[in-house]
Amino acid sequence: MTTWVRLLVITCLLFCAGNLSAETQRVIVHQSYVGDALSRNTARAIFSMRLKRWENGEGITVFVLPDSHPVHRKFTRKVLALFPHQLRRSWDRYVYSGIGTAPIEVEDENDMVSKVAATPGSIGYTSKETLDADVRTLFVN
Amino acid sequence: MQMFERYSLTKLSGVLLFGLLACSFVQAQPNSDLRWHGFFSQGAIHTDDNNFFGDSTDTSFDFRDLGVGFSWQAQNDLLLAAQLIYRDAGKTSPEGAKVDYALINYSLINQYDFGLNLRVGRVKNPYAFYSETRDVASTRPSVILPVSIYAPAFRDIFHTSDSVMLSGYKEVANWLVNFDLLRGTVPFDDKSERLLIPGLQPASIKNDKLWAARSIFEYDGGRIRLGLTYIKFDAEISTLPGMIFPGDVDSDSYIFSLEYNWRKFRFTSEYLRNDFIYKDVFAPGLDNKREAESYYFQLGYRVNERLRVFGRYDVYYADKNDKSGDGQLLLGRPKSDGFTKDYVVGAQYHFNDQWMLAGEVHHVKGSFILPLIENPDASQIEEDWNLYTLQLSYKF
Repeated sequence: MTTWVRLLVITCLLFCAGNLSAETQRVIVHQSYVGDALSRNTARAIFSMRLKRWENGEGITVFVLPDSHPVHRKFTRKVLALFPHQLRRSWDRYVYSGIGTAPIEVEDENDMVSKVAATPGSIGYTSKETLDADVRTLFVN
Repeated sequence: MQMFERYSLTKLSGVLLFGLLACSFVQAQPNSDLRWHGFFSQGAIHTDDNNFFGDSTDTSFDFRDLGVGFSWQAQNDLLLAAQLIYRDAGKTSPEGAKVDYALINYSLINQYDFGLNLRVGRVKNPYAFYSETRDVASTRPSVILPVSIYAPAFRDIFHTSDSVMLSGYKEVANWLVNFDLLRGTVPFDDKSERLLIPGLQPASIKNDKLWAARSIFEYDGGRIRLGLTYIKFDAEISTLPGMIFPGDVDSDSYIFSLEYNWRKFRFTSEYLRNDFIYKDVFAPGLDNKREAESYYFQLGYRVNERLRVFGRYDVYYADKNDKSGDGQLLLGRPKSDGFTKDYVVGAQYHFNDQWMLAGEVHHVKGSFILPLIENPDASQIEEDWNLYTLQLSYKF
């Protein structure tokens, strides 16, 4: 009985932890970034391509996954509290009227991490924990 | 001086475009800040009466758009961009490709909650919700934009201009306020010039000036959007006295725009009041005023990530004081040219982020929406008619 309860509790914890890590969306930046947090409004301004420079004046390079990618959808919903089609509308307006640019699209999460690691001033996101020394994980609040 | 201003600005756009292209090719190394984009669409249109974008009673395929452009982030605060466009919309579209925009965008202030940009060159005018991307199929709610606000006939006057423009945004609480101010001239060609000149007498437009101001208020990342647009256009009609006389044409437009997103629904409505005044043109000393009023209501529903459906009621009155169109008879046109009521249902299917298929059915009362050039014979115009269209599009 006690073993069963223990197993149940452990299973529950694992399940919850598994759930948590599946829910967790990490904003990642190149290691040159100074600071460890970003406000939601700033994150929105960056991912909607309004804000083009970091506070130190360095240009921001934004990487995203394709619109239909589950991690992209979860990221825009959970972290930015936007729908992917709202972001796409801003980007389309910038690109097709010549007043701005769209983010650079990457293929998958591994590609995302390696591109952010290789690009100073860049920002992206991932659902996985990353141990890459050139990448820093940020809190969005 | 005014003529000089107009042509020098237009020329400047051309020079800019080719200068930019040259610079970009030089700069086109991997990882450079040069980005290309483009779009393409091919449509089919069938009408049971009247012609819309080609010989549509026999089904017209003269309905396509092709655009290609680039942007180059020359410095952190300096963006150069240009786009060429080729449009085929039956007899209403200009011949050949045109410079759609070619501009320098200089970022004066760029903070997360406040920004200010200066733009010079050929720009897309700030006009209601959809004008700036009206040629890119997947950015539209429907194959044919609501005629009440985006009438094909007025496209060339209000869509692009050779201008100086100030644009910005300011975040206030949970609202983002976007604003644009513009002063410029219209890059007319012979066809769009004729739209403003009554009758068939040889005449030309000169000294045209365009002003535009728009604010869009977005709540919570765009859940609610409110827009206000004002566009003023003034020009002189130059001609020898005859059926018409030399004079002025002035136009004032006010547009209110509203969008509300709730779960999978999107409700959109826009209202336009457009006054056209002809001074001295019909008779020296006489002002002829026409007050157009138009609006639409649209409800969209997102079935899933790929499929969207919508319904719309779209109304246009060429003169709000003559909703039955009696005045059209004086011009030798049927009364139905004075209005259009368009009931539309349609759907969009997104195969992926690039390809889309869209289709819709219009039941129309009235013929204002019909291009005059494709329906010159007043006796052939039917007041009640249907339009069916299907369009395949691609963008990158």
